[in-house]
Amino acid sequence: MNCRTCQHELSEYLDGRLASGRRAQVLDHLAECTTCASFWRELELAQQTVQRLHRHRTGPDFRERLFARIEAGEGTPNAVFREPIPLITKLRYTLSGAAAAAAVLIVASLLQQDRVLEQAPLVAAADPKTDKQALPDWSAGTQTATFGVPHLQPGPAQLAIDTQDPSYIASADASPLAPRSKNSLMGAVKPLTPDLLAVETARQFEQRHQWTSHCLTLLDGGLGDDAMVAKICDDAESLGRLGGVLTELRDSRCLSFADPLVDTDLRVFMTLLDGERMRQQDHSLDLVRTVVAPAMRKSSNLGRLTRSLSVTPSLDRGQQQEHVLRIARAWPELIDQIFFVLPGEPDTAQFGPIELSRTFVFSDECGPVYVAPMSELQGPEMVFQRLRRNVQIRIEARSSTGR
Amino acid sequence: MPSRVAQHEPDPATLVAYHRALTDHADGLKSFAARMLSDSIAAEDVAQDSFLALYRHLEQVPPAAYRPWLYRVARNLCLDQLRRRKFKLSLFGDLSRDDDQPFVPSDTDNQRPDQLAETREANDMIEKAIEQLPAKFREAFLLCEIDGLSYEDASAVLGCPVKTVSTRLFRARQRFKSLVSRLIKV
Repeated sequence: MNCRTCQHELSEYLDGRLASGRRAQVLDHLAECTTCASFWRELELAQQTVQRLHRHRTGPDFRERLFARIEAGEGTPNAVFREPIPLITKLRYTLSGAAAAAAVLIVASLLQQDRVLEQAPLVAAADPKTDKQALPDWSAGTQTATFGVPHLQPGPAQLAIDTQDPSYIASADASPLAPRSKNSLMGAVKPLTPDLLAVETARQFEQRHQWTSHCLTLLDGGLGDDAMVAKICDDAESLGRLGGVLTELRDSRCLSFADPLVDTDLRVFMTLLDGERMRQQDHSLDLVRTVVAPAMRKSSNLGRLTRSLSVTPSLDRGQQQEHVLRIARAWPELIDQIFFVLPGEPDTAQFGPIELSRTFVFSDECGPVYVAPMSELQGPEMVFQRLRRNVQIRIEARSSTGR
Repeated sequence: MPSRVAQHEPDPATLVAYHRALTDHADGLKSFAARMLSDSIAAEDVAQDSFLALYRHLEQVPPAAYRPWLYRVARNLCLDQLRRRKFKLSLFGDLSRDDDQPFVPSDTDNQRPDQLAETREANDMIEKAIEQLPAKFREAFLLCEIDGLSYEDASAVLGCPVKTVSTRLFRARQRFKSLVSRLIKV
């Protein structure tokens, strides 16, 4: 083994990528060659040096700005799919295209010439008109040569991660008729995990917070009635529950908020809302004015809670299940509030694979519970209709048996 | 000007994976872009545009591929910015940049490598050395050495064979080593 090969392989060895056979040879060489041994030590030190470099941190409003752009419906930046091609590459392919086209035309013209020579009398070969016809058309050749370039233009397929696996191919302008990618998430009921619970709870909390805020504005403007007061109180109670779950998930490090103001507002909100008083007192205008309105006013940042939500990877499977169960026991109404509980195990015949991917399962003492997030049901109408039909059938069945 | 799109909310599990990706990769992506562009502010925009693009393509990208996909997008955005910058330079010139000045490490012979790395001067020296690497080597170096991508992921990001990644990384390490030789004296 020469030093050059050894040094190249040392670089792979540093990344743990060298096969054991080669590794032994490299280490043997290293024991004998002081140059390579010194190269190896420097390589290691250089890597240690690099790993101490500071990491750039995104700004505190990174997520908020991102979700604001998402909500505003901003599309993918054009430059994402555009990769500049170096001039030399363009030139090389153009020239190689031109050379190939020229070769084809020369061969074609020679064949043509042979045929002309075969077919025409010898005198005709000397005819300038015949000669002109036999010459290759260079202008046409130039046009053909440029055809190579558009094929080099990187399109959306440039984002393909693994060309062998069609599910990895990301197309920017995929036709709706094109087969959908085989997303690993699709096609199976997934276990309900604490981080999923966190996202769903946050989404529901945000929606209700915005809605309650809107109702309070109407009430302040004199547009409310008793029904609205009752609704505000109900929603405030729900917010208290959801807030409690979010606090628990935050304390158990399942979620965090990138924006510290959101975190502060959640604490303030939970303190001011005073769940005990909400439960004991009648739902009245007085309760709204003295408890709900101040809590809402002091927690305006919670209206954009999901923008700063950051979920942390879940623990192992068993702990995830335990955590979900603990939350379901502590807040028994929660599951019904943020999920639609399915009457039984969904199957592919009843639901398509995509709808199945929107259902989740967790186990309690009575066995598995299949749920679909409420926020999902507001989106894909199909799921909702199927679920409703299912429930309708069960209600009819119950009424027919007199239960 | 990017187009406006109407899009379904992604399903919850995908949304969770997206949030995780934000937590895990936003800083890395910004660091990668910052070192590609030598511009921290532009790098934040690149990281954000990459995540915006991912959100719009959540249905087409499996969560396991989020990381190389994001880096691929970030790389395209960086190359686009560098191309524009180069075009501007060719038109107006850039009198403020001193990148063409030869790199002269300061006198740091009296300190140990671990002490040196902690100083700002040493960091600047390392950053400068990375900046001096040729673009192709720098990409491989940033992805594999700093961001810890596998050769396979880096190959998907750079659009070249795995073997090429290995070669570029080796060359980058060789050059980098000689550029920071004062810091890593054995």
